[in-house]
Amino acid sequence: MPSLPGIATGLGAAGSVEHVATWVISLLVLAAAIAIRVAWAGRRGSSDLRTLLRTTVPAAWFVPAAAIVIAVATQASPSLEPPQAPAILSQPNRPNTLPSITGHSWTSQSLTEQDDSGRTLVLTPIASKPHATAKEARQEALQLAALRLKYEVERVYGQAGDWELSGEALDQQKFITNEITSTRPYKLSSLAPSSEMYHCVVRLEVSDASRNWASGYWKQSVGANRLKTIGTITGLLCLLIVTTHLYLRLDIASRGTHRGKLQLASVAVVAAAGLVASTLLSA
Amino acid sequence: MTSGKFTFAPESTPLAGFTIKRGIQRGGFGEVYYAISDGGKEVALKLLHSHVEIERRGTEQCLNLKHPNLVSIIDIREDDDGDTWVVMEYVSGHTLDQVLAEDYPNGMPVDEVRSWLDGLASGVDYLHDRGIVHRDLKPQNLYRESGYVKIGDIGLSKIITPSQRGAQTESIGTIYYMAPEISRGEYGPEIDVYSSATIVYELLTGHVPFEGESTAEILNRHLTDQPDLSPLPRNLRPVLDHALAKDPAARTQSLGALLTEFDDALAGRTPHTPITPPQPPQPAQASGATSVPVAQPTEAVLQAPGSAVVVGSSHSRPGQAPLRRPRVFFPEEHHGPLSPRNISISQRALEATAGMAAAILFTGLLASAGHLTGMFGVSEQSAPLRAVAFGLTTLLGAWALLVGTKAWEGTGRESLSVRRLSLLLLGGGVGAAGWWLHQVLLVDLPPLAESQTAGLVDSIGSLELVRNQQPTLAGYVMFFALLFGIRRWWWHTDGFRPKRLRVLSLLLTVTVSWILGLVLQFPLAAAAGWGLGIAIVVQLSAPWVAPAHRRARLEQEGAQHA
Repeated sequence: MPSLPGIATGLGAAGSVEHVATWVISLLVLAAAIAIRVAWAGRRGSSDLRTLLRTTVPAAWFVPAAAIVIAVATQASPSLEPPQAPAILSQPNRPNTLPSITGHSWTSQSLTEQDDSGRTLVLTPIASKPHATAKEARQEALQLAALRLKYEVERVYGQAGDWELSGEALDQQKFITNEITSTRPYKLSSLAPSSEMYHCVVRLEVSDASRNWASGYWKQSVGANRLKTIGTITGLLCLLIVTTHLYLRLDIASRGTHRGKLQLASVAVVAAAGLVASTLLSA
Repeated sequence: MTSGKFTFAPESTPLAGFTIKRGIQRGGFGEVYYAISDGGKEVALKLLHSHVEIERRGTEQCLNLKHPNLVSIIDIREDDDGDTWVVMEYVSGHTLDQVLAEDYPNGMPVDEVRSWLDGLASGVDYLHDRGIVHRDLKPQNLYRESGYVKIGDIGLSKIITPSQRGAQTESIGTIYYMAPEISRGEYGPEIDVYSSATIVYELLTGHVPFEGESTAEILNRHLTDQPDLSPLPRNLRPVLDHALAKDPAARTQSLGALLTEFDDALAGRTPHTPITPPQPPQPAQASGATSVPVAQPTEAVLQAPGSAVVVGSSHSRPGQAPLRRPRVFFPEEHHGPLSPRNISISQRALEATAGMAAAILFTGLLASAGHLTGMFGVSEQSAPLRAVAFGLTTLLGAWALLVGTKAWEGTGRESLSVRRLSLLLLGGGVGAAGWWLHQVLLVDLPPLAESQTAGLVDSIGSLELVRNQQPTLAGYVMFFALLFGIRRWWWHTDGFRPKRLRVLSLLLTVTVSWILGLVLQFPLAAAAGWGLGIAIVVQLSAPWVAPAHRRARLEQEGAQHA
């Protein structure tokens, strides 16, 4: 039996994500058990097995219906992981060799500065590989800058979900402070004549502002994606409740005459909805 | 009406402050004396002999009743020997049975009967409205003084309590006026209607409807025979037929209604047509028995005035299973939360799911309204996600409360501390689920207010409640557990709550959640929002029975239970 301090430590621990389900289920089961016990005693109910069975058997249809909802939720659960704690991550990409561009010293080294609030910001150059067109070179440079910022976000806030940061968006947010494209002759093979290839170097601002913006983008995109999953599960749960209510209403109104049919219909409705939900989640 | 030998002689002062003048009545429950207080007030003193605690408790229930048609109980005292005395208003007028015997041996004029019925109805309905059933209405307990009809012997051995079970093997009430259902252990207000109707019958004809050689025979006739209405005036026959129905459910429901029907019949208006449901033959009593075979009640509950009042008992014959579950009687003004009710499991489930389904709608409306009014951020991209996370957490909390408290509805006052403990745990679970939802949706709560950054709790022992301006799992669990445990949520969800939506209750919940936010360093906006949101959704969603329909609901539940 775990000690109280142990429980307390577990509850407060940063890595308690994996214990949440256990805590939730344990607390709810305990509360439900007490409530049922009190209600049963309050109604002066008999606790013998036959009475309990007689009372619970008519509600047995609820078990498969609930199992369907649980199965769908279980199917979706891998995509609903809370953020993992920040960890030491490897750089997402090995920086390309920085070309030296005459008159643009920022292309060859990072620069640490302080913003107006006195907080440190790093201006780091990121270069593309040589490309046939300037546009392709620029796209790659921006994409590498986006990956770099994503790495920063995951290093600070943790990892959760699949998401991509757009290089163009970075540029629009003014976190690309400098950008230059240059050409150099390259020989693709010893037999081929040399041709001009394009390099693009962008300068990324890695700061609280850029990290906050990127984390917001991350939360928005992952959250919206997960919202569909949670919405589907919640919808299924709501359907289960509404179905249960309608079943009870009709069963009471018909004095149990059509109980079997109603149970079958209820399970069928939930099963159909479960199939639709499962398909949606798999898509 | 002096009978037997009294314990105290005239001029004796067994109870300080009163001088006994003469004995009035002596019976199984004690002795009644006419006495004068030291200040000169005339009183009746009743010395309790048997079942003292029961009598005392029953009398205490009626101590503060004030009505011109009731003999007032002034006080309950103990003398130096530890004997219990009930100090009552002294009524000098004649009893109704004296009036009948001396002046109207063959029956009263209808106007005179109406006059007695008027006072009787007024006093008995007053008792019924307070959850008290007289149970021993008979001409010997009715007086007339200065033109007022007075009902005596109230509160004495009329309210059954669990501890009284052993006292009920003897006759209850006088057999001539005893309603048939008393033999089944049912003591609802209808038994007073039956007794009163019997009195009216006697006043009109000069004799009671059911007579016999033995108490068993009389009781048997109450159970099986239809009263002979032919001696009654023709227009009053349906009225008495209705009021003397064997089935209490088919009987006139109150003495006020009986008086109205009586008046209507006299005025030539169409009286209420009695409902005469099929009345199954009642089990015959053993003939020749010398005592009334009223068996021992096995279950009854009494609660003090000011709360729900229940009078009822189940009944079993020795060696047999109980015939029926207890009947429950509630006065109108006491149909509130904590009223004991017989709610079936299916009814509970129906109401719980109805509430849960309604909660979906109300939570959706609430979160949408919050989003549209900019509560979750005006131009922030995460505002819709925040609204969804808030709404889902609110919905979970509302569902938990609706289901948890529905299990307790109608179970009475017991186990309130267990209720709080259960809600505490339930709230902890909801808090953990809310934290998980916010983590999964990557939604942050609003940052802590400036007033929350210093001097308040941010951890309990090793439990860190706040990290990076956001509540931790422990913070969520603590906040919701306390919010659920502190408030009496069963009042919010009970079908018999005073109003569907109580604004003061909402304000109190918001205040509690705001204080919890301050204490636990939980963001105040979120704390108040959840307190308000859950309270609104729960109150709007939980099924509510309008006060006018509660009596009918109780009867329906009682019938289903039986």
